Amino acid sequence: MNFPEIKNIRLSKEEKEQIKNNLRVFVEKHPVRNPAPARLVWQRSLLTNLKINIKPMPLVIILALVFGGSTTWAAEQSLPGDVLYPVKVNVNERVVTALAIGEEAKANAEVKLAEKRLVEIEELSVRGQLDAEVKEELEAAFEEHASKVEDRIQKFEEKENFKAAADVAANFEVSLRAHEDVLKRLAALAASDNADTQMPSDVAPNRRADGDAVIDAKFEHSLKVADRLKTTEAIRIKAETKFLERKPEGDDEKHASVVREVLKDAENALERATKQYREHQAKLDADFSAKMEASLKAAGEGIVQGKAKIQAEAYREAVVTLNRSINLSKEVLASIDRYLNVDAKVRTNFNLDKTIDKRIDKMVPLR
Amino acid sequence: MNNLEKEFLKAYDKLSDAIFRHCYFRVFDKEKAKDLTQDAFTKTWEYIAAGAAVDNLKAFIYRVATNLIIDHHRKHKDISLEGLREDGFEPMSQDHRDIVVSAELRKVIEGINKLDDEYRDAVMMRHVEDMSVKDIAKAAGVSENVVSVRIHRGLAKLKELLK
Repeated sequence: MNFPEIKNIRLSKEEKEQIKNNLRVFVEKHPVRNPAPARLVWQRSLLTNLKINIKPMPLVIILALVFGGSTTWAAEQSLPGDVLYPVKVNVNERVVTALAIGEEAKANAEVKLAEKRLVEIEELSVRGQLDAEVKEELEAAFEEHASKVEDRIQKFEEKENFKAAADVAANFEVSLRAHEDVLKRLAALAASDNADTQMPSDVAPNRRADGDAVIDAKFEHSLKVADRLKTTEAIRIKAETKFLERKPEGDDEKHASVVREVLKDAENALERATKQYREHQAKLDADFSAKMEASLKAAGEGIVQGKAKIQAEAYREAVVTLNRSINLSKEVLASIDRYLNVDAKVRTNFNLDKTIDKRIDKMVPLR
Repeated sequence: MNNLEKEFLKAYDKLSDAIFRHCYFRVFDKEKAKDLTQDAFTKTWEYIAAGAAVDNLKAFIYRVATNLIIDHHRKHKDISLEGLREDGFEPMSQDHRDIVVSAELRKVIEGINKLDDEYRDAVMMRHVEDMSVKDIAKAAGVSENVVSVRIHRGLAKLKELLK
């Protein structure tokens, strides 16, 4: 197939130049906006009131823009309370969802947005900045995105696109699992803060002068992540089952070509996850370590099973089994990442040490 | 002209051919594809000027272009290309002189034309534009796994069509 020849389909040099000149004029007519005074953008309730449009607008903060590659941009890292947060939510995220093309991309975009809200809750928690109002807003925003994810999955099922339903559900599941542990740990810290009035002062730095804890909302959240996780897992399994049930004619051959790629992906994913785990094993607590090892083992078993199914020419089943293995590996990677991130910050910000951990584990078991 | 603007125009030099092809293989009209290419770049600049953070410019422009193509199809529902394709009609511009290709290549193009959009994009991005699966996944907003499936299925279907 002479694909290279297709590359000859292109604009002529003159046409290219012409467009470039038009672009140059356009770019000069629309310069990047100058920074606006901070107080004009910041508001108390940051998530809902600001209506920033993509078209030229009067008040926008300039961001550091880099082409290609991965870097951190000021807005993407911002949290409620930061000056750039409205830009993150109203500009960046709107752009991302607007540009998600196709139903599956849109569903995955909602998964990412739901996850961002969880990250924000965690980050504010570890800084001791999660006040009640912001917490409510973030939780509501998370619920909204999570509902949208479920709606979209349902639409896939109605259209009998069970592969897409399973894929999106799996993505959401991986996200939720990675954050479930972290949020549990943070909730445990909240419970221990309230339960133990004899905490040394360096562990509860936000106590008011009159001795009352000001930290109730610090770590608490009302997210029903565990419930949602159970539901999503059930949805995923149901979709996978339905997917396996249908066997249109000649279908197995189609999957035969794909399945080797998926096997390679599964092996790579497991390798990365195992490497990451070994590298950071010393920093993880026993419970969490055990969980990660169990997941890695299951991921390995999934690959073995997948290979067996390939041998037996049950390609559709092999794809499902191998995808499960990939998701387990992804979960391990994401979970370790969140654990290290959050744990390090909690320890630094709140001066925790291993003795406190043991106390917390006893009072509120993490399982 | 500041650095950012210079970078943007450099990006145009690098990407304009690929974006043009992407547009052409969706509308099969050279003039229209030209307009869409220019619009994709100006629209991207609008986003940048408004303060949007762009991580992967290539993926971003592809997405903007695809959105514009979808808008274009919606506006031209009467002469819908999908409808024409279903009737087996060859939706190249009447002239046929706007793109000079060999008869064999024309057959390939017709085959590509008959693929569903997502398969066509995946196959073209991989085998014409030499994009990595990772980059294609970013441009399409789906996982790499899904991209691999689309490439394989697209190629298989294409081989079938070209028998």
